[in-house]
Formats: sequence, C-alpha cells, structure tokens
Amino acid sequence: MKIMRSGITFGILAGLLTFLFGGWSVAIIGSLMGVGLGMGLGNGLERKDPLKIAKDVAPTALVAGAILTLLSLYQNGFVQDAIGKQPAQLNVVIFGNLFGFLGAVIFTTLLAGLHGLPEKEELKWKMILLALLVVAFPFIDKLTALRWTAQIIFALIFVILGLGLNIVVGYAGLLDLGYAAFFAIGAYTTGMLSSPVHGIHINFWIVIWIAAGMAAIWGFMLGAPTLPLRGDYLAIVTLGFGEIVPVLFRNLIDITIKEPLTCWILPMFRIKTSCIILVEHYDLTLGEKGISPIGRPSLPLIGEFESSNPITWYFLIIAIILLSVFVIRRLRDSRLGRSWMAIREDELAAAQMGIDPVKTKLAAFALGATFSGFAGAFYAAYISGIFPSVFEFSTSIIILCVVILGGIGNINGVIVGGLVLMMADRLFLPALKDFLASLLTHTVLPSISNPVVQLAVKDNTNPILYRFLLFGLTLVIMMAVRPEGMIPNAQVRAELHPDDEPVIEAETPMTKKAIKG
Amino acid sequence: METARKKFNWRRFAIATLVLYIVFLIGPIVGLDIPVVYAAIKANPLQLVQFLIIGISNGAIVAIIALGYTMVYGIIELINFAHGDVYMIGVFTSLTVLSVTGTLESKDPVKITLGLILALVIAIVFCAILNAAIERLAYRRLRNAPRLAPLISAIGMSFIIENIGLMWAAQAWLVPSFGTTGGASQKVFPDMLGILFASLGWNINLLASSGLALRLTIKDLLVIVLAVVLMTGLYLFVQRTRLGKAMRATAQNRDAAKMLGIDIDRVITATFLIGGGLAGAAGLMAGLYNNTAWWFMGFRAGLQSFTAAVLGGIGNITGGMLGGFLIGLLASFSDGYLNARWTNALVFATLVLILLFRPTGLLGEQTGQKA
Amino acid sequence: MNKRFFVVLSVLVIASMALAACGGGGGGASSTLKIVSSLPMTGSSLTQTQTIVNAMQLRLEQVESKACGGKYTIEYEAWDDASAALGQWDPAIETENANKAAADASIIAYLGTFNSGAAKLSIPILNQAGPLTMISPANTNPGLTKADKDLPGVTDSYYPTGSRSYSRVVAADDIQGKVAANFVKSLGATTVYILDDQQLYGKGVADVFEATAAEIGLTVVGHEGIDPKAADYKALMTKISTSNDGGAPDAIYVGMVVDSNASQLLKDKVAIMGDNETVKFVGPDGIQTQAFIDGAGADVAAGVYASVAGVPFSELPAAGKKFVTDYEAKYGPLTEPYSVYGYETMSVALRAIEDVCAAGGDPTDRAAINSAVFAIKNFDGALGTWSFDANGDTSLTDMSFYQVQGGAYVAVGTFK
Repeated sequence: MKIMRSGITFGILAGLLTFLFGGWSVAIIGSLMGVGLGMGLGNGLERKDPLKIAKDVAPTALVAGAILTLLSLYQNGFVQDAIGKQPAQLNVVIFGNLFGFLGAVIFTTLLAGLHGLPEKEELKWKMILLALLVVAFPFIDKLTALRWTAQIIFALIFVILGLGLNIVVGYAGLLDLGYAAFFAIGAYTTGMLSSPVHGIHINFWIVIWIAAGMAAIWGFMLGAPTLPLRGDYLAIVTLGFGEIVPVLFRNLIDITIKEPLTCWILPMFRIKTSCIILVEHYDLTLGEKGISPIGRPSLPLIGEFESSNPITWYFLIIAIILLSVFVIRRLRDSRLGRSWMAIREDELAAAQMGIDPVKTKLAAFALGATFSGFAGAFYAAYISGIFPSVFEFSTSIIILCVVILGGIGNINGVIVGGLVLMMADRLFLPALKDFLASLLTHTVLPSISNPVVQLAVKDNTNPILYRFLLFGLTLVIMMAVRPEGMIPNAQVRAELHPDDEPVIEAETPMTKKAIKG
Repeated sequence: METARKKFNWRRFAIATLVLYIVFLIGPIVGLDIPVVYAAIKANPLQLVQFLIIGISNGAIVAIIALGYTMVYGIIELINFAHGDVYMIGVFTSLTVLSVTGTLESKDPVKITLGLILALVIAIVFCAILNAAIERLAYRRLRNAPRLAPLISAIGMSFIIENIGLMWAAQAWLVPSFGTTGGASQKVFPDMLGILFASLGWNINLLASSGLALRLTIKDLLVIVLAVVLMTGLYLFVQRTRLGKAMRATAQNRDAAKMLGIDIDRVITATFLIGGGLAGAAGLMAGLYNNTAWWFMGFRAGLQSFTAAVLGGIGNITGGMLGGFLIGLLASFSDGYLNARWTNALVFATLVLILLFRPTGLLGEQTGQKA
Repeated sequence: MNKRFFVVLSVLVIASMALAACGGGGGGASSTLKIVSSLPMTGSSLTQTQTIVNAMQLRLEQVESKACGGKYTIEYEAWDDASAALGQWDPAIETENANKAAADASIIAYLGTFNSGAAKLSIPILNQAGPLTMISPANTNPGLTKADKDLPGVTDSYYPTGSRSYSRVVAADDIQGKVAANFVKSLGATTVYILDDQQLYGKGVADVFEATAAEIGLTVVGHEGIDPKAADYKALMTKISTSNDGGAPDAIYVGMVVDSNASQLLKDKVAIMGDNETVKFVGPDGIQTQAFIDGAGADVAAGVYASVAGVPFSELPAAGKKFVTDYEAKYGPLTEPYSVYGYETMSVALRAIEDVCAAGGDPTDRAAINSAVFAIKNFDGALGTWSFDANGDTSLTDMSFYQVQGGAYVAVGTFK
C-alpha cells in the first residue's frame, strides 16, 4: 500500500500544478509525473520480472493518472472561472487530459518495469527514453503552445554555469562566491566581438571559444594570487572579484590613458614635453546602455538562429551541455580529477603524496571558468543584449544554490538542481503569483463586503510582494528536508549517513574537512 | 645580512618603479589620478580631517554589524547571510517603537530621550530573539550537514527577512510617515537627535564655535562612542565571563568543549543572541545617523560588514572593529578624492590586496591547516 | 475486486471527462483582440507601474472592452518583465515576453516597456513579427528612435525589417535635459554640479543637461556617477560643498530615479549644505514620485524641483481631467505622473483599432494596426492634441516643473 500512497501524493501534486498553468499543461505534467513516479517506484522495488513489476504498479499508475485527470478537469470546470479566465477549448480539454492520463500511466509502468531488467540494460533503456524525451520536448511544447522551451533554455544556461562551478566547489572544494564574474566576462567578450558597437563581427562559432578562453584566462589570473588563501578567505576574495567585475563593465565608458612620464613627471622637473595621450574618452563597454544587438550563430541548413524560434537554441544548448558533461566526466575520472578530490579531502596529505596543490587548484579555477565562458557566450547571443546588472552578486548566489541544491559534486545533481531551481524561479513562482492574483481579484475580493477590510486584503495579499519570501522559503525548506541536495554525491551521502552510526557521529573532522577543503 | 643591507636591491627598485608607473598610467581610469588627488588635498587640507570624521562614523556602524558576523563565524564557521537583514529589521523596529510611543511628534527633550532609550532596548531585544530564532529554525538541524547546506539556508533566510522588511515598510497604520507608496521605496527615519539637540538649544555641530570649516556633529560622536563602548563590553564579556570562556572554548574545538561539559546549544544560542542584539543597536544608530529605513539596506550593509570582518581577521573581535573603521575610511576617501562610482570596487580591491599579503586578515592568527 | 476497481475507475475518468468537456466547451471567440503590457512589477518601480497598469485597465473599461462597434472584444494582460533574482527588469524575461507576444497571433499591440534597456531587446523581436506595434508609456532614451551620433547604425539595427514599429507617447530625454538646464538657469543659478546614477536613463538625461548647460552659459563644476547602493553620501557631499572655488555650487542636478538612492542623496546634501533654497536640488521625472518624498521626509524634501514631460494634472485637457477623476474614484488618490501616459498608450492602441475598422481593414492584421498607429495625427488624447512623427516620437514637448511643498509635489510652471 506504500506505493499506492506515493501514487496518490504524486497525482495530487501534479493535479494542483495544472491549476497554475491550465490548458495543454496537463499532458506534459502527466508525462513528467509518470517519469518521476516510475523512477521512484522502481527504485523502491526488488529486481524481478519487468512485467510483474509493471503489473504491480499498474493500479498505482491508474490512480495517480485518474487523480491528475480529475483535478485537471476540476480546474477547467471551476478554477478557471474562479480566476476569471475562459475555460479551454473542447479539443484541448479532451486531448490534453487523454494524453496526460495516458502519459502518466504508461511512463509510470514503463519506468518502474524497466527496473526489472539487469542493471546495465535498465540504465541503457532509461537513457534512450530520456534522450527521446529531451528531443521530443520542444516539439511537443510547440504543439501545445505552452512556451516552456524558452524557460528551459534559460534553466539550461544555469545548468552549464552550475556544472562549471561544480568543478571549483564540488571537486576541488574551493568556495567561490563570485562566479557570475566569469559569466560576465564570457558574455562581454562575445558582446564586444560581435556587435555593431565596436564594429567587430566575429562569427559566433569562433567567438564562443574566445569567450571560453578569456574566462579561463581570467580564472587563472584571479586564481594565481588567491590560492594561498584558505577556505572562507578565498570565498570573500572571489566575492570581491564578483563585485568588482560588474562595476568595471558598468564604468569603463570613458577611458582616458595619459602617459605619466610626459604628462606629469617630467613637467614636475620643469622639463617641457608634449603630453602623450594613449586613449581618450573611449567607451569600451557602453555601461548601462548595454551592448545590443549581438550577432547570432547560423548553420548551413538552418540559417541564422532567431530569437523567435527557441528550438534551434534549445538544441544548441543541449549540445553544449552534452559536450560539457562529457568533458567534465573525463576530467573527473582523470588524474587531475582525482587530485582535486584528494585536495578537497586533505590538502596536506595530498601534497605529501606528490600532488602540487597550487597547480591543481589553478586548473580547477581556470577550467571552471571556461564553462561559464560558454554559458556567457550563449546567453549574449541568445538574448542579443547584455547589461551589467545581470551579473551581480545575486546571480553568483543562484548558481551556488543550483550546485548545492542539486547535490554538490554530482553532475546529475547539478543538472536536476539547475532545472528545478530555475523552473521554480521562472515558471512556478510567476505562475503561482498570477494564479493567486487572479483568484484574489475575481473571487476573494468581491466576496468581502467591508471596504476597509477589502482594501487591507488587497494591499497586503498581492503575491508579487511575496516573491522573495517564496524563493527564500523554497531554499530553507529544501535544505531542511535534504541538506545533502536532491541527488547527492555518493561520498557526501556516505559521510552524512554512515551505516548504523548515530548521525551526530558524522560530524568528525573528516566530514567537515571534506566539504571545506 | 650585512651585505644585503648595503647592496642596493635593484630588482626591488625596478619592480616598485614599474608598479608606480602602472598606477600613474592606469589609475586615472578608476579615478585614482594621483596628481589630481594631490592638488585636491593641497587646496583644502582641512577637508582631509572631515573625510576622516565621516569615514570613522560610517565605519563604526559597519564595525558593530561586523562583530555579529565575526562571532557567529568564530563559533560555527557559518557566513550568516541573514545577519545584515537582522540589522535592517533593527532599523524598522526602532522606527516603529519611536512612532508608536509618539516620540516622532514630540519636541520635549525628556520624552525624546526616553523614547530613544526604549527604542534601543526593544530593538536590541527583538533582534536578539530574531537572530536566535533564525538559528533555531534554519541552522541548528543543519549543524551536521555538509558545510555549504547552512549557507544556502542562510541565503534563504536572508530573502525571507528582506521580504518581511518589504511588508513592514508598507504598514502606514504603524508608522504614518511610511506613506501610501508601498513598501519598496526608501522611508525616512526622522532626525531625532537633531530635534533633540535643537530643543535643548545646542548646536549640533560641536566644532561650530572653533571657527574651523569642520563638522563634527553630536551624531558622529555618539555613533563612534557607542561603537567603542559596545566593542569594549563585548571584549570584556568574551574574555572575563564564564559564558565568554565557554564561547571561546567552543570556537576552538567544539568536541573537546562538549566533553568538558559545555552546553554547546546554549553557547551557540547565546552567540546568536548577542550578535542579533548588536545588529539591533546598529540598526537604531544607523537610522539616527543616516535617517533612512529601507528593506534592502541590510544587503549592502551585510556585504560590507562581512568584508570588514574578514579584513580584520574573522573570529577576532578587535579585528572586526578595525576592519569596519578601515572600510568606512576607504569609502569616505574614495567618495571624496576619487570618483564615487568606483568606491565599491575600490573597497573590494583593497580587501583582495590586503588578503594577498596577509592571508588571514589584519589581526587574524595563522591557524595552520586545521584538520 | 481488482478488476472491478479498474472498471469503476475507468468509467469515472471517462464520464467526468465528458462532463467537463460539455461544461468547458464554450470555445474561444475568434473576434478577440489581445493587448499586452510588459512592465517591471517589482521594487520601487511597482509604485509607478501599478498605476500605469490600472490606468490601462481603466481606459479599457471605459470602452467596455469592445472595439469597432462591439464586433471585437479586447482582452488585456499585464505582463511582468522583472525577476525575483534580479529584483528589477530582467533581459531574459523581457526577451521571452516579446517572443511570447510575437508568437500569439491574437496580440495586436504591445504596450511597454518601462525601461529603455528593455525596449532595446524587444523592439527588434516585435519588428520582425508582423510588425507588432509597440507603444511605450515611459521609455525616454533618445537612441531608441533617433540615431545616436556616437553609435552610428545602432538605432537602425533595432529595426531589422527597415520599417518603424516602435512609438512612444512620452518625450525623450534630449528634451527633458535641455529644458531642465534652462530651468536651472532661470532659477538664478550660475554654477551646477551634476550627479547621475550611471543608469541608461539617469546618465542620458544628465549628459544632455551638461551639454546644454555649456551652451547657455551655466558653469558645470563637476559631473560624477554615484554608487546607487551606498549607505550614505556624506563624503561626496562634503566634496561638492567646496567644489566651487571653496564654496558650494548654486544647484545640484541629479539624473536618477528614486530607486537609485535619490532620497539618501538629498538627505546628505541637506545635512551638509543646508536646505534646498541655499543650494537648489533639481531632478528629472525619475524623482517626481511620492516615494521620493516619503523617503526623504517632507521637511528635508521641501523645495526640491523635478521636471515631468507633459503638463500637470490640473492643466490637462478635459479628457485628461476625466481620467484623473475616474482613476481616483476607482483606485484612490493619484500622484504618479506616468499613469496618464499608460492611459494614453491604451488610447492610442484603441484608436488604431478603430481606425483600421473604419477604413474597412482587418484589425487582427498587425501591420495594419502598426500603420494606423504611425498615421495618428492631431490625436485628441488625455495629454492634449498631438501627433507621432516618422520616428514614432510624440510632438508634445511640454515640460512641467514641480516643487515639493508641504510634503507633496506642486506644479510651478510649464516650459517648452
């Protein structure tokens, strides 16, 4: 009956989600719920005949799908009215719910059933299924006109950033609070090298490498002097760097460089010279005006990527992520990767074993920055405009949250963390806000007769005012429920929950140091 | 040694010259135009003193907030991101107390003084409890989690408290001067000290009769004195009292302290209470000094104070104080002689430079590789 | 038991589906026109953007959401282009809003943006989508419509199709900065110190001010950008207090919005240099909001001048006065000058729809709507009678000046 209970929970949660989005969303939410439920149920069951597992979970799948459908229908019949919107069209209701129901049932049984296969087979089939979903998603999204692809693209930018930061924080154990600076450097390199502003137009496919290289160089330059610092001192230096970089991009708008020898020093000794002015009033970054428009990539068959068509961008960023994951996996399993982890675990011991800590850490910094260079180049070209305010401290913090929320040191964790956090910020919270706001104006407020109370309710219940609260609560609750992240690194989990030992014992010097580095 | 002293170090000289040349060359981009700065100081040397006064007064507020950071960090090695926002709540608490008690409208010196003292007490108590509650709710259960988990929790808490401030600033029934324009914009914190001294017939500028073109206001003095008093009190508390010793023991080695029978939870709660109380006091002081209440003011103040704590050597009370004053001075000189738009970058650049030469901050101890 | 369970469940699902389908199958009316606005609904801007949205809604209610003699129903949605993470307008969200609007064929007008930076991103997207006409109530950056001599070709690059699709009902900064400089001179000032918040808007208007000041013989003692997040500006103000040959300048002009710590700047200025009679404090419409006075305090803010494009509420034509009365009846006291611009953008959009209908055209045709917007001449709106020029700029160049008196902005004069 335990699986039935999780089925009901999933069904209710997914059904409530449809309240926020309405329309076709039930089809996608149903399928996604099916994938999640199937994975969850499968992992909890013993490995046995796939068909038998499928049979076992089928009732749960049906119940979950039914709850989802019922709630979604309720949404269309009553909730839409309560928030002052027209009910969806007939064909949307029928097919949306049908697909949602079928998606939920099929994916749940399928994924749970896959668990019956031998481990390798299971993994293979799951990967194939995942790949199919990833490829199919933007087309389904286009058909259903939900426009989630653009939000996913944005989330994926943060996934790349998270993957890069994970090298620094997760593998090498160096806390970096100014990672957005490298993102900015990547974006600005791209902006300056492919826009009418400086009259330089370098092809995107070349610029993206220049941007990555530039970010790496800066990572190296920042890392070289700061690596003698330990732990949180390093954190504050990176934070400082993260604060300085946006200020630089904002203020480098009127550069005048005079050669000091001829302009001041010689005149001080009453030697008459003509002042050599190297640069005068040069506007490098355009400050808050921002650099726009920025050149876009183009491919032979597809032509130039357009902002209005997210599908091409979606596949471009998926390609970048695949490349990044491939490279990072190889790095992690290489000699360098093992050195990072050795340093994270115990720097002294690692140094004794012949690992050069400075070189290893520098490599982490530079390589970590490289990936944010990719992300920056992609961002600049995709948005076609960059403004210094995007790269402030809060962006660094969000990238860090992506890494920690997902599971520090774990590639899959970072991907899931990035998707969940950014979806919460971009899709869920705005939708919740709109939903509550419409509910308030259409149903709650008219039912309050006392004008004073009505005004007070109206002034203080505007969900727009609570977006920080919701975001903060998400983080705090997430950490309270799963402090090791959603998909934790095996090592971290082992340290947190050693077998049969009371949790309090986990706080040995080993644990602390493992994360601290 | 002897030969080294006699022999002129050409390499060092060349490097120094080169650095100087580069400063002269690139400096003007960030406002560091040395001939211009020199001319400005020469034209009005007295103004240097004025910037000193402003810098120290501003630094005093930063320093008090920094003490809260440094204490918490010393004990549980957590960057308490919410601390700056507790300070912001301190500003709102004291403003609300002043408004509710009718002090804002009063012109009677006795009533204003009593109102200010009451506001100070309530702000301290409220912020202390708030800070301890944050620890209880968000950090305690994470004490054994990976070290970055409580950091995220702290960031989340910071967002939550900022939002509370945003709501608070919209409650015009509580403080009428908030107006009806919503909570997001800055609100005025009336200049109660100015009113108080005007009602006593004093000139707020203590140096007005000296004939110098300088301003040392009673506000400046009060902020500085209060900061020094609080710091001395805290220092004595940590050095002399039983609880203070327990704190130091816990900071050094929590497990060993536990074995010696120290109640770790109690010590940590006490630390958060004291840190929060200091933030509350800083809140009232900043409100009186800068006359602003704003839901977002905690963010920048927190960042600066944490920088100050690190600059001085985190975990070190005197260091936190020193760092705070240093940051205030830097900002004031940068605003005054360089270009205000570069001030923030300059503060952090200095921090980076100092840490490069003294990796554990100005007064931080070389702790070695702590296992 | 198990089998029966499935049967019951399936019947239940199918039955309820059919039921809901019957109930919910009203179907969308094809004669719906959609208008959207994209404004940052967060931070201090919310004070202004909320009144703009209210005003747009009010305008729509006045025509009962109908156009072309009831043939079309007009739907309005207020989109938000800010994100929680940035706490202000977010380039990614503005881009997505523009793309979303471009993709939804029922949308025929895009009202926005509030920030000129945001407009730079959405103009090219909407220009290629029909073009979908974009009317801004608040963008004042000149470069959006007029070529910037420092950045040749950039303005044209916002319009990839070559034809214009962006218009605004508010006068650009080049007018505001110019009028402000003349105004400061008319106050009897001969020396002025300029501060700006380094934002697109603030720096833009401050730069125009500086250029004009040089032309009309007003001495600019200094021009500096400030850090809009600093806790205080006492040191800066101390510096300014001796910047004019050892004394204070006659006036300080601040090119900034209230969000950029403008109230704090004023408080420190008053603390160091005395009240606003001794050293005048003048700013653009970015500080002409009640939030600025609430932040500084009524006594400290007393005497501050601020310019606003257009005429004050009391001098608005009949349509404008009616707007103010209707607004106040529905939403309470109105102080934000931008609200009437929001109202006017909606009026322009509605007028374009009516014009297309009157000419026998199809109002769902975006290009037709866009041409109708640009064809508007001698429009009798809430702001007065005005026309769009070929660039999409308004012919109204009136600037009114307000002064803080008794805790509120009071109109003191109108200038051209």
